[in-house]
Amino acid sequence: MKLKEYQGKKLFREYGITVPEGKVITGIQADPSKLAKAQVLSGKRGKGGLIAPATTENLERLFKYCSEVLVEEKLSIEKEYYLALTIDKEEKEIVILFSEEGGIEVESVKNIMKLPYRKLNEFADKRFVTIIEAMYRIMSDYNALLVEINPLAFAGGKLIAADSKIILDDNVKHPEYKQKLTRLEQEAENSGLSYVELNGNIAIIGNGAGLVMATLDVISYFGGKTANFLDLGGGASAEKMEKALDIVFKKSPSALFINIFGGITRCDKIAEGLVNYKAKHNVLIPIIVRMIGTNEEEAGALLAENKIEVYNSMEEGAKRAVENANQ
Amino acid sequence: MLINKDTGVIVQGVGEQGSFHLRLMKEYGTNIIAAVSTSKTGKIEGVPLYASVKDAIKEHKADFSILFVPAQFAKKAALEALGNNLNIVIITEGIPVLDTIEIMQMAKGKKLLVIGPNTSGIISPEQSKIGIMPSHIFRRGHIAVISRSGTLAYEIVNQLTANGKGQSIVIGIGGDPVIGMDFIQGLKLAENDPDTEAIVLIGEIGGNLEEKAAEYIKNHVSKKVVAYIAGRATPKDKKMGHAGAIIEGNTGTADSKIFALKQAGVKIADLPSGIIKFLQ
Repeated sequence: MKLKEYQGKKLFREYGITVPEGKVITGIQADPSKLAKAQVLSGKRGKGGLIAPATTENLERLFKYCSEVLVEEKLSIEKEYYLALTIDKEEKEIVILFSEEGGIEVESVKNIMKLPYRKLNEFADKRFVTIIEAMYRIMSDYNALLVEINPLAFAGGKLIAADSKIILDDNVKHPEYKQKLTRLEQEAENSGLSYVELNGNIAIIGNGAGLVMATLDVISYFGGKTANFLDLGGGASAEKMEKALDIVFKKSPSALFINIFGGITRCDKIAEGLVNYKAKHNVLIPIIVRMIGTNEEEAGALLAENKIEVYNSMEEGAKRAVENANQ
Repeated sequence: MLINKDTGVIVQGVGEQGSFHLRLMKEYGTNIIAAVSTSKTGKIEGVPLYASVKDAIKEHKADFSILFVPAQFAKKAALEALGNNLNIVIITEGIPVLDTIEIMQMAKGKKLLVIGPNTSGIISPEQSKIGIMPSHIFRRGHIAVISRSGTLAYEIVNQLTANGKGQSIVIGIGGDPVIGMDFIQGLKLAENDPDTEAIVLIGEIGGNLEEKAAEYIKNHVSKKVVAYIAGRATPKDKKMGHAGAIIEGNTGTADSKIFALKQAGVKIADLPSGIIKFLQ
């Protein structure tokens, strides 16, 4: 999960890192002597014109892209550095990344020096050490995977964090920061389902992140468009399956493809959830089921009784779902 | 191979999932010698329970520990196992990444193996299973399978078995952003294993493990490698179930992985069923 610039800067300030004077506005308050920065999560804001003097015209434009704008004092920058703490996934440790050439896209920053955090005492330029230590405290206190300052500006004799980029660990809950979830994504999260809303018309329910991702790919391969990603997780109950159906049907898809490879997940439980749901609701769209693995015979019998067709192959099932959705 | 009939295994965490899979592993023939529980005593499925790893391995020789411990306690349990010189398989999902790197640092120092976190485990078919995968789909044979995803590996293994292609080993490396054994270590193992004839690599979007694997294959792997990469149809900046499966900016895309692997001479299956076609 990424934090917005102002959220990161608030943390910087709390941990003793100097940031420019500024405030967040949610409506037009022009002050052309100041800099307006759109609080969007994408990079390349400078290039995209999302950082500009806080004139009425510019603010009107920025508010088309976001609901919050950070208005800050302009700095007379003498030099820009790149400084970050992140996790080296190969060495599996926290590392410091530093460059004398900051202020540009990190991909194009040259001469990046990498040093394990445990060797901080070897960091030559001592002016940066207290800032690095503060960044480390933010990292451990907030379970961050990246704490980046780009640029770290030298202005008026001080090092000032002119921007912030913080990515928090998704394996840890961060109730203090609201995730940008759709209503259905929130509902799914509350029910322990992993759900991502997409733009197509074929609803998907499966088990296991990799298998569901592959299911989206196979649907797309056969020319279909998926309405969502939904992973039931391992060992789902009939009730959980009903909840999943409830969520995917709210987007009014034109077909539903259920793809289950039963391991810990029992096919009969999934079938039971589907049959129960159908008994309670008037389901008008075609439902295509592919189910193999643990208790597939019981599931097959139950589905046959209820006239639901079951496929053995995920690709045949997906093809059928695409044909049905296009009818 | 990495594990066989004689590999001694202990189980840490015998709650609902842990005790269920302890039974299934034992039924499969895994040499489960003891289990560790902070709350239960006596025996579970005929396996003696101990309060600590140290006690558990006093009278029994163990090589691996498999962890079903909840995420918030997983680091402590993992460090305890490593401290007693055991390799570990971490089934647990949702361990804070900063905890994971502490685990990895200790493992590195002691030259021990960590598989996972967030993995379905490893299986050497008809020999030993240290994991949660459905046993019936595996057959002994000569294909090594290395996968980030559990269920997608099942899907492909099922097709291999149905087409008479057994497996020498199947390794789930895990879906987290930081994992222990990665594709490179798995490839090294498979390349040096006389029982393995070809290697199936199952990757997905996010990170650069597949790109690194491609570099390694180019220089160090002589055996046939075929791959499937999940997530081609996934939009940017959407996390797809696995914490590690996200395209950020231009890194971690399926295209980048497929391109790198093709450059290394790896055959890429466009559909999961394409894997078996490349192996026939």
